[in-house]
Amino acid sequence: MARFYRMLRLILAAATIALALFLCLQFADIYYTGASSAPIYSREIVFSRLRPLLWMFPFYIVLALATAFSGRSMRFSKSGDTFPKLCRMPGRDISKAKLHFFRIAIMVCAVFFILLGVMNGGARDVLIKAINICTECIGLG
Amino acid sequence: MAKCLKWLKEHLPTQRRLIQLYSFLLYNAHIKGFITGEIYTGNAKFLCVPGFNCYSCPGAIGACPLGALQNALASSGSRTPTYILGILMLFGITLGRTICGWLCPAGLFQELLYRIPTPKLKKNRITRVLRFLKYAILAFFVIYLPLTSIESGIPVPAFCKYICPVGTGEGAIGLLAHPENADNFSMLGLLFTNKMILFILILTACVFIFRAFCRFLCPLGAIYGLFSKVAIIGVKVDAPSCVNCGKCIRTCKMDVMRVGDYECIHCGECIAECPTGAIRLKAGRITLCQNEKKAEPTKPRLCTAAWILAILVLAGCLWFFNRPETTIVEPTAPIESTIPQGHEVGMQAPDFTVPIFGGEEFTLSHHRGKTVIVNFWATWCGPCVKELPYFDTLSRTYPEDIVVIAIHSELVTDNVEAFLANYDYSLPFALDEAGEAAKSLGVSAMLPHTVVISPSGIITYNAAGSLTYEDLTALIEVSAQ
Repeated sequence: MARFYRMLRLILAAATIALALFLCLQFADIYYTGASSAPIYSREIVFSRLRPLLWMFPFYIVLALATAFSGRSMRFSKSGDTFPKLCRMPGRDISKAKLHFFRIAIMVCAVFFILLGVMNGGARDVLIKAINICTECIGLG
Repeated sequence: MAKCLKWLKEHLPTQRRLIQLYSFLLYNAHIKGFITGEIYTGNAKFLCVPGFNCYSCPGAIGACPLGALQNALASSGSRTPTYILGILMLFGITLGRTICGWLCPAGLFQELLYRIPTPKLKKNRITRVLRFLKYAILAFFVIYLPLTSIESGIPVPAFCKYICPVGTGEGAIGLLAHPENADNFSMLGLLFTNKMILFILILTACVFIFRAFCRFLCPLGAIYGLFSKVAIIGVKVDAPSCVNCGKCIRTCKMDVMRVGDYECIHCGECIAECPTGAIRLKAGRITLCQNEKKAEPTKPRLCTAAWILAILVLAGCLWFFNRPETTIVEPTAPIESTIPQGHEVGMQAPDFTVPIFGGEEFTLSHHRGKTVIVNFWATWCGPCVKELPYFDTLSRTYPEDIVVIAIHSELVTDNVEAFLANYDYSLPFALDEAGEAAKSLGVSAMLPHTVVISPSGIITYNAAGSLTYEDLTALIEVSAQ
């Protein structure tokens, strides 16, 4: 059973990589075959290229579920590694008084900065950029 | 039946997963946006959400702190970015990287992808070195490139533009998926192809490596990590109770060297592993989460009250951001032509008047008989600034046949006149403060946006996206036919 589960996991890993490669190649191919003519992309082109996903994706889901199902009753021990057995950083910790001071100082600074930003128009800048879409900034072009 | 119940009990989502899901829903409460294909443009967006959530996502109700930081740095020539720095400091000092573990939608999706049962790549020496990559990305793409773009006058939020998978997933795909935005496919090119491939690679990496994006690439996590020692909320180790067994570090899937260090996302998984109950999730002196076996039984009343309050807040947000808007239908002037008036291609362009910098006014109907190109731009929009010279060259080359007008988008905070003083443009620049011209021509929130109107007043092109000089000349030819 353990062998079968391991094999399924490997198949699933290969399927994941194959699916990713398929998607990457489709987008690269759309770009390179369409680069000479404008527009390169269209809704129809993208949908027709991604049509194989209609059967690939359900197959992938079934495979993932089958793998998860076959491994549900198995328990694996956590592998030990070579990490240092430390819960606390060796060296100095900040004293409580200093920590309180830092926290209060940073918080006061933060509130002061925010108020200053609201007054100098920084908050309005954030609003303007958030309610408009810069097409290039989200990778549309 | 008993088996089923046992299975259900074992597989119920944890408190942390529910909070992650809750924050994802709260950040994207503008569900209407997914139906209409438009982003939320209300005033709530001046507030940043603590986690990674693209503000160009149709559902987003708040600004992305990283996108806002880059834009603020890119325009810091005119204004010090104190607001966003203050917000980041406030999030950092109160929550630190607890945000990554509990309140980040990107973290939630990475963890769900990691649940796909494939062989996994555990933390090792290479991943421990790779974790420093995010600091390099923070320094170069988030700080250096936006700051250096001030000199060129073309703002570049480099991380958003070249890397951000959240922007690709939520912003680009979120908008393109809607049939109403089918026109936007025409603007896609090399940039989109590269970002899509990077997006797919990052998603694939997340299947094999726990939170691959968070650990190696996320600059927001790098910023919050700087506050790890002083953040109020986070996992803390009770030093006297700790026996230094190292179980917590071995259990942790992140590249931590100690509990609560700058790589720790305070997910609290080590709490259950600690044999002495020394690790607790604390907010100052208040313990939020502790080892159930070691803890004294507590009444769940406070937790229930908090959940009820949180659900009420979510319900309120869902109602507020999706409530139906009352639109006032204004009576329109009688149209002489048989062609219907509107903003779509083939329709008669509605008339509008905008004030030009320098005192005059531009009225569309005064330019009948000439091809009119209306370009909507903004000083903070890199591609808009980049394509202005093409419009200027056009207006200089064909002064008799073509009228070009560049209209700055509404809600201006920058000094547009001071910005234009740096250039020698001859084309008229106007300001659409009320947003009426944009509204009448159906300009969405996407910039740059260009509208081409034929000599007979018919719209021949109306779309968002960058254009080259060749594109423009081709559009003029179509318009003149």
